[in-house]
Amino acid sequence: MIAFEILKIAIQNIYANKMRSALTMLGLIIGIQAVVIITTLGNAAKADMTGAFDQYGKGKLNINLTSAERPVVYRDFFSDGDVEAIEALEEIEAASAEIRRNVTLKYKNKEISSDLYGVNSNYDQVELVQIIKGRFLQESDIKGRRNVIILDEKSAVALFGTTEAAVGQVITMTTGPQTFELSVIGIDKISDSTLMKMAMGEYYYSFIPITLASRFYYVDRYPRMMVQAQEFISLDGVTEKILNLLERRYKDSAMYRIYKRETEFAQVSQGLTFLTATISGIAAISLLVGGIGIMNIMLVSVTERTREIGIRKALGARPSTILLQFLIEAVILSVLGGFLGLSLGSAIGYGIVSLLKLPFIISIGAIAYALIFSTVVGVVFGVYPAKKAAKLDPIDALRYE
Amino acid sequence: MIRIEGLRKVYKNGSIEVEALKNINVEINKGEFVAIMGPSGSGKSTFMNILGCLDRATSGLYILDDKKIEDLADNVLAEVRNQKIGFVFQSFNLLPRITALKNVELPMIYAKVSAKDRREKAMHALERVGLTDRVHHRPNELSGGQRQRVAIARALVNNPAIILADEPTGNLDSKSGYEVMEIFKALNKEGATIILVTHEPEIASQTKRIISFRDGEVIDDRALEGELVEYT
Ligand SMILES: Nc1ncnc2c1ncn2[C@@H]1O[C@H](COP(=O)(O)OP(=O)(O)OP(=O)(O)O)[C@@H](O)[C@H]1O
Ligand SMILES: [Mg+2]
Repeated sequence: MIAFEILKIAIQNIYANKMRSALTMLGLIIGIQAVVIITTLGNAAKADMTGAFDQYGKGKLNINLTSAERPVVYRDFFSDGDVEAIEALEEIEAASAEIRRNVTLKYKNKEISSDLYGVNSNYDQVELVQIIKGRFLQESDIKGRRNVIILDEKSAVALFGTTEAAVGQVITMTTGPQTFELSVIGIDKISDSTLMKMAMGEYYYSFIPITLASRFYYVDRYPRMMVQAQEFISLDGVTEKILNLLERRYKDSAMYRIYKRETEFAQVSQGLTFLTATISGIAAISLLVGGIGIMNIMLVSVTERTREIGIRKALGARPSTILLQFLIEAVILSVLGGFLGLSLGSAIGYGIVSLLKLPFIISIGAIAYALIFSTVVGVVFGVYPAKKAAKLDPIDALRYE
Repeated sequence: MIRIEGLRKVYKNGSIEVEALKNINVEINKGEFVAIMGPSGSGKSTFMNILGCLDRATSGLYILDDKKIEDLADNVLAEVRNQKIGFVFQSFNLLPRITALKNVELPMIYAKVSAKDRREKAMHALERVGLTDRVHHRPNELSGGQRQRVAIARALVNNPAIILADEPTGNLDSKSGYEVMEIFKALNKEGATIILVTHEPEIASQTKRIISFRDGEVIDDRALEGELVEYT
């Protein structure tokens, strides 16, 4: 009852000083807004990453060579036999080796520097390959060592203007002193993930049959192998099995490092969470500034309204009633500021996120957090001025000019 | 109803001490109509503020309705001010931003009266002071006399045991002052206890008892109209 009356008085006072109330809230609005925008972007980035991982990261292992123990020698590399043996493991769905070289691709007067991957036809089982034009490598391309190449969509656009124009054309590949003619048979779509696209920037890549690459570079062993394990299988167990197998094939298992995509994603995701939290924390300092702004205005208000406080006390307002009146005013200011900051922040966050084509995630937790936090700011910074008002002596307050 | 014994009030401003009241002994009964007179600085306002529980005495006894006021906590004192005392100030002390009606409703908000009852009682109080046509005006849209009548309506709205008025006619012209006195007289006739401070003998003569102050002491206390007054 009386609380409702006090609430009414507080709202009337805020309304009577519209401009001042708005300026008082500004600090909090900006602070909450900043935190909301940052968390929205952070969440969006994480969701984007998780999406990318779900699409092609699950159950994937990379087997790389390491020179931690001793220098790598040629016989440490993987032979076709090694790849086949690993693929034959029960838990493994596909294993595929790759040779990677940087080459120059030329079409007419256009030329780009591309990372050329010599891969097998089952490469699309161990890495994400999304052919949008033409086709991927087939068994016959590998066996027949055909002079064919698959470009990523950006390379196609760089060389031919459009992806449509690329398929069927012949381009020139230069690597060291050698030059070869390759016909374009397919175009690979680059990642769906906005962040991956951004990270790739001016990166161009292409695929040719691994047999062709072997001949270009006079190698029959490969430095890197990718493995797709069965779903729902413990990757630690698989790692163990692969190392044992390599050992049985007279290889030194200390020379290999097996990376789980899962772990890499988890690390990036963790880093992102940390980054978001840190920047949010810095932005939260502005909430403190907002709180101090509220305290300042409430102190001014108490001084200005000393006489009013005296009158109310003379008419029977208890100290606790006066305290509540000023506290409620501070809390209304801060919660309103928090709410406006939340709305504005969400709107701006949504704008940025849609511009970047990232997913927009609004969490109930974040909303609750913003509102609870602004309430706390109002209480913490409103208590001192309210106490000051409550403690005023009625006769002193009435005499105040 | 009011008993005051050996009341003292000392104001301290740093090292300077002013003894505004020295050993006051007064008794005021229910239904009395008292004027307090005396030269400027004689302690009349100080006395009224203590009577109104707006200020506390330095020492001495103040009993209001069998309650020792100096023993009461601030919260209880607020309730006493709200329920037992109606204070009328020389400078009106209305809240400027709200209407006359809302001003009169104020004490009832703190008495937890429902909105509907508040309005009804406030209207009734304004009726008693003859202000029914100006209830929705703000104080700055009212004349001094009208403002003081709003303040009186506010003072009487909770049916207090005593109405205290510190120079209620001090800021008013003689016509408005006359109207205010008529209201006080009518209220007293209905049974209200009224204590007012005035400099004007004309006003004082309309009451039933005059207490005179000088230098913080009561120097004279006499009944008018031949009515008998007991004092200690
Ligand atoms: N807050 C205060 N601090 C210090 N001295 C005060 C204070 N209030 C009043 N006094 C002093 O106490 C004495 C009595 O003051 P009081 O206001 O009670 O006089 P008064 O009789 O009401 O005078 P007036 O007729 O001018 O209103 C005066 O000497 C005054 O200066
Ligand atoms: Mg005075």
